Amino acid sequence: MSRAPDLAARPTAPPVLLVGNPNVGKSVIFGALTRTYVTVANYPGTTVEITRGRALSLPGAPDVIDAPGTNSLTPQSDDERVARDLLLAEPDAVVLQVGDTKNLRRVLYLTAQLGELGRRQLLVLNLQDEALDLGVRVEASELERRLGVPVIPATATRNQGLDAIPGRLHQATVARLECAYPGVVERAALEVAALLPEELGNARRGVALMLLSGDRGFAQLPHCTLPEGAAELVERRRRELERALGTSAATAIARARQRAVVELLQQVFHVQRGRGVTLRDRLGDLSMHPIWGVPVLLAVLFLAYEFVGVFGAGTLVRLVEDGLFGKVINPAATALAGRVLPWEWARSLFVGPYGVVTMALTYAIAIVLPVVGTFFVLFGVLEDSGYLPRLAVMLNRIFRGMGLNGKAVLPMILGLGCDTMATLTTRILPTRKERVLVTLLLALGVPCSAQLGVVLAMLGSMAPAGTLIWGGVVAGTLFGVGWAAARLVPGKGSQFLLEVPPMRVPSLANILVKTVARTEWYLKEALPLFVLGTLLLFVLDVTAILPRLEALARPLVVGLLGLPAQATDAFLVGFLRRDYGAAGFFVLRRGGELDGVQSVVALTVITLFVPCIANFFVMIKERGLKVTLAMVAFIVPFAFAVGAALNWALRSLGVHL
Amino acid sequence: MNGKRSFDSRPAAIAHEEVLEELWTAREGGTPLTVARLAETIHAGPGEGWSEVVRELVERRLVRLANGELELTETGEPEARQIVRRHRLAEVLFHQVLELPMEVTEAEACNLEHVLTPQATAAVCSFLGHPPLCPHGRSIPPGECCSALSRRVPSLICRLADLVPGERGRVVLVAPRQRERLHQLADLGIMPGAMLGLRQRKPSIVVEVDQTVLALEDEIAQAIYLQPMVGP
Repeated sequence: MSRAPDLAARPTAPPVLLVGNPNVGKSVIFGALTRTYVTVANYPGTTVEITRGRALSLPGAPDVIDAPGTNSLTPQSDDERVARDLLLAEPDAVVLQVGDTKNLRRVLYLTAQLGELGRRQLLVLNLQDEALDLGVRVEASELERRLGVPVIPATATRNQGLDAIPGRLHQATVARLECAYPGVVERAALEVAALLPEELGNARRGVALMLLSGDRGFAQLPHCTLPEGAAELVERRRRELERALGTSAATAIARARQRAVVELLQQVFHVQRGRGVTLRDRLGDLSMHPIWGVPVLLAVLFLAYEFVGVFGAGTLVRLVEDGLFGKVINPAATALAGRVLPWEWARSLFVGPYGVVTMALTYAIAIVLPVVGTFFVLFGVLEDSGYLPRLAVMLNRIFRGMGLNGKAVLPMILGLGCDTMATLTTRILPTRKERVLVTLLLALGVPCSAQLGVVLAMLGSMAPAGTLIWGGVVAGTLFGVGWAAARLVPGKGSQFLLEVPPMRVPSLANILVKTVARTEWYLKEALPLFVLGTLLLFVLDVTAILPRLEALARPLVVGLLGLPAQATDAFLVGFLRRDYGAAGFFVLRRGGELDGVQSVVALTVITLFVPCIANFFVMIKERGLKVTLAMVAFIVPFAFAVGAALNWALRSLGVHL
Repeated sequence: MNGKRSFDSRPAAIAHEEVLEELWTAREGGTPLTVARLAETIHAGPGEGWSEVVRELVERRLVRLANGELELTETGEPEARQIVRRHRLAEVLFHQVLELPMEVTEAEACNLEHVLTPQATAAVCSFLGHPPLCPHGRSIPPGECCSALSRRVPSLICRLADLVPGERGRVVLVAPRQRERLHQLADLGIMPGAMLGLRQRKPSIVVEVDQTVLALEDEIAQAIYLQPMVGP
């Protein structure tokens, strides 16, 4: 209760900026500091998301900004550029640097750069538990004495050490980590610093070194436009410097920093040799082993199937659909509608065959939500355990055939949860070509968990050959289209370079928070579309357009695909959501109106069908209208063509399923 | 003594080679050379008399003048290529392996480029592991020894991709094709002097630097040269 006025009051302390390497637990610390009241927004001019919140537990209730993970302040990627720009844009912010204790060298490499920018900071040495496991010991007090900034050991996932932050925030100061640059570099840095605008203040030396490291993205920064002609001067100075050095300035600067860091490390960083290999290490190694990695992958797939396919799509769906909706909600709604709604059309609007409650809510909440929810739990576990980068290592070579590399594993696997979300995460891919290719493959043939759940439930009711045919055709199509598109889409792919974090036991709380956030997002996005789709069908039905559309589509659906005419409904709603379409087939199949071959053909077509409306809009947002329309114009006829070919092949071979 | 004498006995040849090298470098930089500019930019030899040298080169059909600009002929091209190759290989040897300062490296490379025999050049190139780039980041024209068939990797310096899983080495040179990659690797701790261990080669190359584990594309691993270490 007392929080509301606090929130309304303006913060009385300067903002706190979380900075650190990727995968060091920054967001966990952010979560611990802010609890709730978080806003996520794109950084202006980029697609990188920044999380902001208020830390009411800190003195002065400052704003907290979570900068993207970065290895250096001379940016190599959009994420790193945003981290650097945020630092310059928030000159008064106190930097809370979060580091991975066992990777202290990389931590201090960043500390050195923060010091050169004249930033007041604290240093949280996180992941103490992992360091301990590895036999790594860091003398925090000695490090604090040498750097001059508060050093706080912590294990954020266990909520250890973080309580020291509020009390030490006011001690933040500029880190002392002098790097001995070659004389020519020092001279060049002084000259360049003199060209920089006054308002940069203490940051000028650091910015000068950034510029000499060849940071070209700097001129666009709103806060620090270089004076007229200065950019050319800097560039000329940089070339002179590189001639004198005989190597790139960035390399010379990086080397000097590493030397300074290594010297400091020798004083405070100790590794005990002869530590035994833990089970987690062994599991991590096995999961990317050329041979053992395959059974590990199969085991993960099996567990995923058991959890999402059997428990989520089976047990939970039965509970919610038959129990909650079948026995409680739908009868109650029908009874209520019968009493309060005198008109037949109004009653069927809510509880008829195309009713908002009986169709839309039942599909969305009873059939799809349990599947999506269990998938998000699974994805959270995979994400936090460190298995996904290892999967990327396993699949890199396969993805290369499609003009991609192992990094694309993340959006593709997330696509098995939700293609819309996955299309957003294509931003992590370095080149435009890769983003286009992954967007296309997601839209074409990566079934989202909602759809997958329905599809698997249906395939489970027939011979295993059905699943094999469906899976084979979809996977083959994906690979074939990927292969062809890699050769048709202009542009370049990128080289695979990915950090593989250690295997970690996921924190239950963190997974729950993520799952809740993702499920909430899903409901907000999907539920209105389910209702919209149902309304569309309802209108088409009462106006008798539906039978006419069915007649129109008959040659295609009945003739080419060999499906009953009612299947047209499913395709129509499939334009709104593929899983909704699949659910339509599910109902038909249960009513005995689809035989085995028909089911496999229908499922193949709906799997390859256009993505849902939400995905369509995100595609437009991310890739532009032209590219999106081109993709859809390819996908719809292509999906039907594959279905027709499959139908023909199965029929001529006389396959029965 | 011997080397000195042979050096002195061929001043004309040295001047020729200097000009050919300069023409190659200028073309690489996209700045055509006139005789006047050549005399300004050339980094060795006497300050004047270059027009005489050019005249001799034109006579020998190694260089031709087109619209006042100098360019290499078909016969001059391979000659220039060999000189540039020797110069840049020498730079890698002196600067990155022997860690001599750049001024010394430059002077030595300017001497060595005129005296290395083809056989010695191939040996240096193999010793260095057929580096694609010189310390300035300019490409080293590949020789016959660089083709995959005749590659024999010596034990002193090898590529990361040539290590056996479980082996470690000290990084001597990082020479990726893209410059940004160099910075990215440096930020992750992969730079000359760092200890690298190869964890596995398949299905993807995985290495460790300190406590950081990285998966790399084969091409990147081809561009990292190291001195293998004996023992764990």
